[in-house]
Amino acid sequence: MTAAVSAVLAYEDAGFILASYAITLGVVAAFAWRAVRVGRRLADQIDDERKYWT
Amino acid sequence: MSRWRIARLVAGKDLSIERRSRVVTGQVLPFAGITMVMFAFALDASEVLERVAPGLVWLAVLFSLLVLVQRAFAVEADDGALDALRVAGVDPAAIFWGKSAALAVQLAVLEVILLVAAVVLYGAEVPAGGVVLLAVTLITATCGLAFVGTLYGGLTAGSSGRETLLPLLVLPVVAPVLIGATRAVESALGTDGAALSEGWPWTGLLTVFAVVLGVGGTLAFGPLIDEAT
Amino acid sequence: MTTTPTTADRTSPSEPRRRAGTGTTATRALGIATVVMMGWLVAFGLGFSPADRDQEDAVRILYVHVPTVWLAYLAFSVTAVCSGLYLFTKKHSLGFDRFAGASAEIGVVFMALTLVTGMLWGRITWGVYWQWDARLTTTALLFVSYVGYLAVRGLGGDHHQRARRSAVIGLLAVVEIPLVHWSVVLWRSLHQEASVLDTDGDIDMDGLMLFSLFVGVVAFTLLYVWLLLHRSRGLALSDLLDEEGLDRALDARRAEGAST
Repeated sequence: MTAAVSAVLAYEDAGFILASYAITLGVVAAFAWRAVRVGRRLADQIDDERKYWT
Repeated sequence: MSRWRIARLVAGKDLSIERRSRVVTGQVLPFAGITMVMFAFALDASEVLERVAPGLVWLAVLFSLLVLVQRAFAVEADDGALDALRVAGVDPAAIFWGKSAALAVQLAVLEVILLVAAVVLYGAEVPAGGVVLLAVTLITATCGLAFVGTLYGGLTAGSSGRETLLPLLVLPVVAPVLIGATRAVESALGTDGAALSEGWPWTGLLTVFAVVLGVGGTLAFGPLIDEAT
Repeated sequence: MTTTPTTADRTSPSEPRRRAGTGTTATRALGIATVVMMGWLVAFGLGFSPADRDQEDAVRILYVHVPTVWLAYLAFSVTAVCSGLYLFTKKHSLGFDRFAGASAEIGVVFMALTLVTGMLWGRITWGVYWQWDARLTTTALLFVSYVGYLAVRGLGGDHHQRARRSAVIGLLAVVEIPLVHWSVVLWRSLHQEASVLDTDGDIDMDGLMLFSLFVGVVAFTLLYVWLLLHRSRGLALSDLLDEEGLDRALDARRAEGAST
């Protein structure tokens, strides 16, 4: 595992490459988390029978 | 009443309001003028100014378009005139054409004055051979801008906070007009050695833009301004 | 007087039953699959796939960049299709409108990611973050257009009004974007490319590289479906709450009228 990590860090322009992965996955995770949070907060105020997916 | 008559009436009404209130001559024109002066301050060199003069003219036109559109629909929204027209069952396509025509007339006047300002302030020159191209460019670009302005102006007219949305919606859409009209005027004026023949394809782009937005606006204006369910 | 609805007055404190969120068994399964595929994407993109002959390791950005572009375009296409379905079907179902809105939100997020990863890639391969090339410029304008679309959705009014307005804007975008792209292409063709180090697109994809890209596309497509389900349900919930608030305000008004 450490060998793999150091191999990745040895890439030329590793900073840019890792930054693009980190930004993409980070933003996606934040967006997904927010979608679930907002959904849950709203869903608590509505009866289950009115949700078409339940 | 036929569609054309209504459109003419709407256009006539808008223009006579503008003539009486003098907002265009008293506020929008001076605004466009000061924008041209500010460009000169920002690009402090006469050779640069002469080279970029066509682009600056069109930028000033775009900024003024935003002001004009807000003005044109503020007049309607203030006393609920747009709602009244709609409730009275007036054909929305006719309103669209009428308001676009009024806007186009104001824009055309503004563009001519700004071109003269560019000649005076930036040292641009209009060769005799370029006059036809210049006129065609002005007409096609003006039609496109008027359609876009009316279309999105109708959407953003009215209640709170919608005015700030207008530039965000309009500017990305009019990018083709800015590009096309700037290049066409550059070749009409022979800026930076641009040949006259290079300008004509751009008027083609401007024409297609005007036609597409004209048709789109005619179809879309009704649902856009319709406030009822 | 209207009171803001809170959880307290809907559920009695004696039964703290959790109500169902926007997730279902299906979305949870989809979510797990997405996370697994994302793990694979990182493993293949950063690890197993080989470096490119010309681009070397910079090619690895491609495995996240291309899927985000694909996803943004997919999302905007879904927005356009759902806008059309809302406007041109007899029923004018708000379900289509909410799918259009949810999809546009996702599209804007992924278009932003596309621009950022593209700039990072550009910095490595071209030496500059931004080039005024046709594709980049159109993408930037497209991004701003859909930010505007989302702003139109936020204008207020009742649900069908919002749906009709945003559907028209969503469909207008479809006719405007080709015009914008065409004009930008014409604009760029005037200028000789300032070829800093233009290795645009010339990548020999070997098997493992193609597979990594495939993993990325699958992972992001799964992610899209997951996000779309959650966000459209979230939008449906806020619409339901709006209606409820309105009903309650009307009830309160009636009660006031009855008591006097």
